[in-house]
Amino acid sequence: MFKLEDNMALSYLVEKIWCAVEVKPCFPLTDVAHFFSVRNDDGAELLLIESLSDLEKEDQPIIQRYLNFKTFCFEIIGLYQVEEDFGVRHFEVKTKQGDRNFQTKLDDWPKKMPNGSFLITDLNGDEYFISSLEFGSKLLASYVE
Amino acid sequence: MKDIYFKKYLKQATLLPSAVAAKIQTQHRDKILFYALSDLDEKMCMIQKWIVIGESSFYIIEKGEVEFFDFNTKYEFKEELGKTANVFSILIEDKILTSLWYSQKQNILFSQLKFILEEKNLGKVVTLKDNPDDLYQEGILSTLLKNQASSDLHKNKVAWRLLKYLKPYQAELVIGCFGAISATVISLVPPFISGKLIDDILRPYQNGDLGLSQALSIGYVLIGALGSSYILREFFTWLRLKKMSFLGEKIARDLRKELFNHLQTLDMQFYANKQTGSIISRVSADTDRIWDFIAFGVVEVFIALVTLIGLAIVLIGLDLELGLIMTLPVPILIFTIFKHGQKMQKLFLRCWRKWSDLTAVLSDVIPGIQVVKSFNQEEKEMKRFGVRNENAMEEFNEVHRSWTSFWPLLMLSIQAIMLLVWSMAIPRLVTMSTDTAYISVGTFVAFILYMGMFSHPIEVIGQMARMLNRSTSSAYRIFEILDTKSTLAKEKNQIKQELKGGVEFKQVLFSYDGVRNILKGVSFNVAAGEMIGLVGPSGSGKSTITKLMNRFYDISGGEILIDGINLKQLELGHLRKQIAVVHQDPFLFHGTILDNIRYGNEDLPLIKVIEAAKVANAHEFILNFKDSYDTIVGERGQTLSGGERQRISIARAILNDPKILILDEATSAVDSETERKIQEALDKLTAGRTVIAIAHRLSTLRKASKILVVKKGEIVEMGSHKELMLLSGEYKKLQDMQMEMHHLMHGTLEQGGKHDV
Repeated sequence: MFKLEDNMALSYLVEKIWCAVEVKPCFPLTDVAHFFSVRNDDGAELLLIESLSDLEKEDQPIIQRYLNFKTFCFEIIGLYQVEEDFGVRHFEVKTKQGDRNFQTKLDDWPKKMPNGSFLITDLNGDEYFISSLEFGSKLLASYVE
Repeated sequence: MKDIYFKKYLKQATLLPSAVAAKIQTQHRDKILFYALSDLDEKMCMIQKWIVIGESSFYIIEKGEVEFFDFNTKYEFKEELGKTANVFSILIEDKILTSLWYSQKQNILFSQLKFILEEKNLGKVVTLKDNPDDLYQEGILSTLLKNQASSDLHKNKVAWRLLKYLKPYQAELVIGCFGAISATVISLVPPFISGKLIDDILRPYQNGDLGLSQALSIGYVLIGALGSSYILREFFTWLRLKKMSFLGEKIARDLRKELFNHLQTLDMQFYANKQTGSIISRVSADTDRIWDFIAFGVVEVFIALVTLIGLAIVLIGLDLELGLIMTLPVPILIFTIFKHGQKMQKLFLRCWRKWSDLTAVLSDVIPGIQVVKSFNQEEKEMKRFGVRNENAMEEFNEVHRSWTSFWPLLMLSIQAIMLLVWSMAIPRLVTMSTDTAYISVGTFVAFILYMGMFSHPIEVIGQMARMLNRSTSSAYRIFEILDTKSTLAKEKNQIKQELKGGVEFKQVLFSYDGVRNILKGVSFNVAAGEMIGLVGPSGSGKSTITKLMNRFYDISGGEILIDGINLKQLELGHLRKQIAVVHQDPFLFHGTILDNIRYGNEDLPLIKVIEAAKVANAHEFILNFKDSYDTIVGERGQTLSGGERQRISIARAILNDPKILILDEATSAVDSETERKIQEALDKLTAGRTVIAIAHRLSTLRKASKILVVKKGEIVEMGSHKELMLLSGEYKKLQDMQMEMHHLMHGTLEQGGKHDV
């Protein structure tokens, strides 16, 4: 049984004691919908979940909400500008969450995901997801095709 | 400068809004120490919410509303980290008071914020090195600046700085430029002579105005002048090419030397932040591009400009109307080439990507060829390489498709202009010589020859932007390293003292990234000549402790003393000479065994090398090689086994005669027999020295007078083996685990043995 606080602190009931845990997707890029490891503070695995549907019904929305937070990344829906400066590429984008600027290294290319979408990781480690290249394909073509 | 970064690159508030700052300072009469920005809400939408730490309280501000929290109350601060979104929450007795959501961009500031809040909440005085505005801006910008260091160097400034390297070679530069200008000016002569030949000899002779002998004699003189101009032009071209190529090499050499020497002075922090491949390419590929720029780029562009201006003057001078027809489209042509260059740059970018994909397979497969072969994956790897090779070829073909279609079109445009010149000229050529519109055949021939010289300088100028961009980028990457200074603080009047080997750590704090503390107040004392052991799980901070003794990094708090002297006061080279480290996987240089043992002590007699190798139990196996001590060990010593490399590194340490010896898992990666030999060697080496030994196998620490148990950056237990066993704590747990593992393996082996029988 799981419990999720508003600050995204997740607990798991182990032998009648609530234990702070984290749920980590084992394959966040290859198969984000399956295989999740429930680990305690020391990194020891308490449970391996193959699919969320294997969980109790009441636990499923809890873990889904938790995973939405854990795996959240900005979704790019528009591209204003891509500019290269010494050693860094600057992106000025429109995301579903609002306008944002970020930078990547020149030799860090967007990763093509198994479903055909793209994932960009910026210098700070923030992740940006591009589901469709319909917008700004001209600007992005050199980087993703 | 920082404001520009915020506005141009970060799309984030440059500072805490002044109205908010004023409210805290006036209404709450508090001094602001630190602040951070929460840029997300719980629905993951972009917002702007501030958290400000003051002397007496901390504040959360959203849309002008200030909520304050008094430090007199005991809070709990928690953070939950996601891939991109994180939550920082403030609690009292497990009850959440408020939560702040933020992206990784704000991560450094929130880590610092948590540390400061915890310290303040414990009633400790927090002293911060900067004012809150600087701390905020540094926290946000540090990642960008680390990746784009010294980017305040504008492109023009980089080019200018690069040109300063020409200063010591002014004579060569002057000769090279003289050669370039002379060759350019002389190249304008042959068309002029050709025109003269027609107008002053051929036509007057055909008209009967000039006799045969006179025509021939003047003709030969002009042909002689033509030949001389060709010879002179090639001579000056040779002069320019030779001087500028040599000059480029000299500057590339100077840069390589300066760069390599500077790299030796940089600390480990620099190397931790940069990839080895990137540093190597700066010393090799980037300096090579600089040579290209100096040897050809600067002069080619200069020559192209001189040629174009010269041609424009000559053409307009020869005939105003035709001259203007020829020169006016030139800016349009240059612009078209420039635009084409931009397109090509995008295509090259794609090539670069595909090329990286291709080389990634190489750098994966070649070092890992043994794994590939043992898993029988040659076919798969050939296919993987084949696909990427094909992709790279496709991209390069795209580049070729683009330029091969562009240049003929461009040439066609130039020829169209020439056709226009022809069509304008023909009526004037056939008109009467008394007509004002008349143009002589000679003038027109000269004109045509000059027109033929037009395309090359246009091409050079069109590609100037790309070339300048490439070379200034290379120069920038070089200057970025040259401008990096070692972060190790240098005290005045550093001491050069023979060490006895006493080591003391006093409340040492250390962080690799300046945020998360890897060592959290570590204190211990080692007397000179004493052996201590460091044990604990991987990542607990054991190796960090030994790196700090070597002063590869400076600590962020506390003090490290060697023989009672602060580490920072000891001269660095002298200090390191007296500390030796024997690693689990020692690094050997490509060279002979002799070179490796004598590294740093090249003047020592050969007998000392043999003695050291004998003490290290290395002498016998070295003599088994065909070339004994002169055997080449290969890159990183790969031709030797782990145990052999280990014993060579012990011999190297023996020759160094260190006062402090650090053994970093020295016997963990070898078989029992090799371990026995290494242990014997180590026993001889450690006698009379201070020894700090890191070991997973606790049995190797029996001789240690004291064992420190390190966990999550803290020393959780300290004492002799007996004392620690009596404590029944972490050490006992480790010992029990190892015993269990030993029994398990022993039992398994015995069982296996029985089955075999």
